[in-house]
Amino acid sequence: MNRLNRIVLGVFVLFGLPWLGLAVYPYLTFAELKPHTDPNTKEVAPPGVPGAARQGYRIYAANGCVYCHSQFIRDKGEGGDIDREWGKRRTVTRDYILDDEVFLGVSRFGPDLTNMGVRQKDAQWYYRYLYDARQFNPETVMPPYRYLFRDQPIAGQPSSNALKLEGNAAVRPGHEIVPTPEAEALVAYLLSLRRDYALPEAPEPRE
Amino acid sequence: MSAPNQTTGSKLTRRDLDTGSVLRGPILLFFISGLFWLLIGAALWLLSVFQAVDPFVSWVFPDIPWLTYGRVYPVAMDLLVYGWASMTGVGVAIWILNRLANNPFTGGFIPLLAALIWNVGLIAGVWAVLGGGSTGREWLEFPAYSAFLIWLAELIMAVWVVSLFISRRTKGAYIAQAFLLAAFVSFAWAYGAANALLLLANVGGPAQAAIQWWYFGCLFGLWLSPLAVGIVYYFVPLLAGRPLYSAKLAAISFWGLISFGGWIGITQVTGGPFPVWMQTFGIVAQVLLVIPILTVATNLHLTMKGSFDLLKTNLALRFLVVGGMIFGLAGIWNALCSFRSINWILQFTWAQPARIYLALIGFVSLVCFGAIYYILPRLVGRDWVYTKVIRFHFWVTIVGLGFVAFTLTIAGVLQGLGLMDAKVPFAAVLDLIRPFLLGQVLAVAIIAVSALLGVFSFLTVFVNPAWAPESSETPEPIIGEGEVTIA
Repeated sequence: MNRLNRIVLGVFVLFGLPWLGLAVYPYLTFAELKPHTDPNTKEVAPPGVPGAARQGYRIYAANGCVYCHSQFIRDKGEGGDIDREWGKRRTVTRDYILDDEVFLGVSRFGPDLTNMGVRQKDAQWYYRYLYDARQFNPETVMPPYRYLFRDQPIAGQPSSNALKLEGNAAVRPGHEIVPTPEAEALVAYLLSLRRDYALPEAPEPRE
Repeated sequence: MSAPNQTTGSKLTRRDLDTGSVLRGPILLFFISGLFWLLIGAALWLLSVFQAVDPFVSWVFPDIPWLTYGRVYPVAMDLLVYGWASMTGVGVAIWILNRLANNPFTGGFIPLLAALIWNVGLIAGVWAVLGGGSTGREWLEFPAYSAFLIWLAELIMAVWVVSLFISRRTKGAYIAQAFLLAAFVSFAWAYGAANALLLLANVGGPAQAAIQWWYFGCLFGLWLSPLAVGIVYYFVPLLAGRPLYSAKLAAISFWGLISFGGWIGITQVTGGPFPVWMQTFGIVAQVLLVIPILTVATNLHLTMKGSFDLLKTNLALRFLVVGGMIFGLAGIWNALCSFRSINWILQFTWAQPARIYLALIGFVSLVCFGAIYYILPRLVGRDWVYTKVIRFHFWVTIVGLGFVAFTLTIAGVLQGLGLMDAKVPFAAVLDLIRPFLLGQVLAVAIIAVSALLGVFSFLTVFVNPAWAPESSETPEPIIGEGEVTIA
């Protein structure tokens, strides 16, 4: 029976080691990371997530954006991330400390979104892209998220955030397509995706 | 002596532990649940690969929120892993562990209860994810209430198999027992710990990702792999009618798998926001994992040596041995893919899911079906009649699997090389792989057909003629000669 006990003990130890190293260690040490304040400009990095974006990550999670879009930048020389200008530098642990949920992702069937809010700042663009991505790229494989929008008759003045649609996505006369609160939260979240500040541990690579 | 059937080779005995067992109900319920989820999972997987080719055509339901790609695909994968592979594997494990304990254990209602809870958890999880309640974390999509039920079922099963082991009437421990017990305990621990931290504790952002990918390593390295290896180690010597070639090799594969299995998850996010040592540990473990995996393959090969002809007639053995070989192949391929130079190309591409499908459909699925083809006649006391369907099922699975692995790996290489080169526009990369995504549709359709064939042949047994018990024959010993003790 002695050998048997050793087996049981061995299994627990061997299971416990990766658990300590890959789960408990980051749980304890990542929590101690604090935002970095630049000594000269007094800018705080990362700057934190604006209130409007705080609900949007749930919509991102609910609709499975993570199955096609990643949110991390590998270093120069580790794939084409920086060459493609998805980010100016690699992302590090501290980039994510203020995020409610982190969507690193393992697929780039769609482009990386780490700095989406830097590349595109126009909310209307996002609404139209989510509604029907074919307007921007006829060959796209991004699904339409028309269920995040509402088709409503125009009452008096057209809504300020109504979608400017053309071609085969055009709306019936007298009607307009407006984003639901879910779409607004999601777009606020996407606009908040920006890791273009400087962090000492991740300098921009030189050409 | 006429063998009761060609398909499964061995003769029907040990009836006390089979048809007469109180565990017949729970084992059948685990099998039926697994096969049910296989069908649903394969159907949703097929829908998702259609959507990956063209998400706008009306018959992929572009305007039904709960059938959008980002909900259908994770549900399909979760059902194949937590529904099909896990539940069927549990059913097989109950049967094996019951035999190896040589104890007609009377707590049969406990696994029955676990199967029911597990199914309720899965239904709740599918409902939640399709309805927009996903956590958004790959392989841990189920929200707290659903994850809790599935974990509860896992925990009940872990406690139950350990108590079955403790109350055994045999001495020492068999190699299959070691693998299966380690798998049950690891799964309950890993799934419980990951969900507790992610859903209950208020874990900060980057640690969430670390925990999530640690769990992924455990799911494949410490649950599905040892589960299927345990099944293979039990059945192959039994069906080949000779002892396992080497107990030492078996022990090496056990300790190797348990040592390295938990570290491999982080290789999925190499280059991510984690300390370099964590990523290096992952890569080293993934490479070292080749040792136990090839040890399993070698041990099986040397056990089978000289009797490979059996694979022609014994279909259960064929599923099990070929599954074991694919395990070796997947192990080598995973190790190669974890090297940084290769990983920078293939990371984020379709070559990554191809590796998962190879392990899931090629290894775990084949092993589970092989075990079912052996166990089911003994459990229900009815023979296989349509062995042609089983042969067909085998070849359709192999063709579908080979095709999906081939098309996705080529697609992944093209996609990876395209993404490396910033001069290639992103849209051009997608154009490049489009033909292979069409190929994936065909491949997954073939796999879905193989799932249908498996379910069909499972169901035929229930209407087949009864299997006459051969009371005059000497009963098989409860512990077969192929079973090797390690303690």
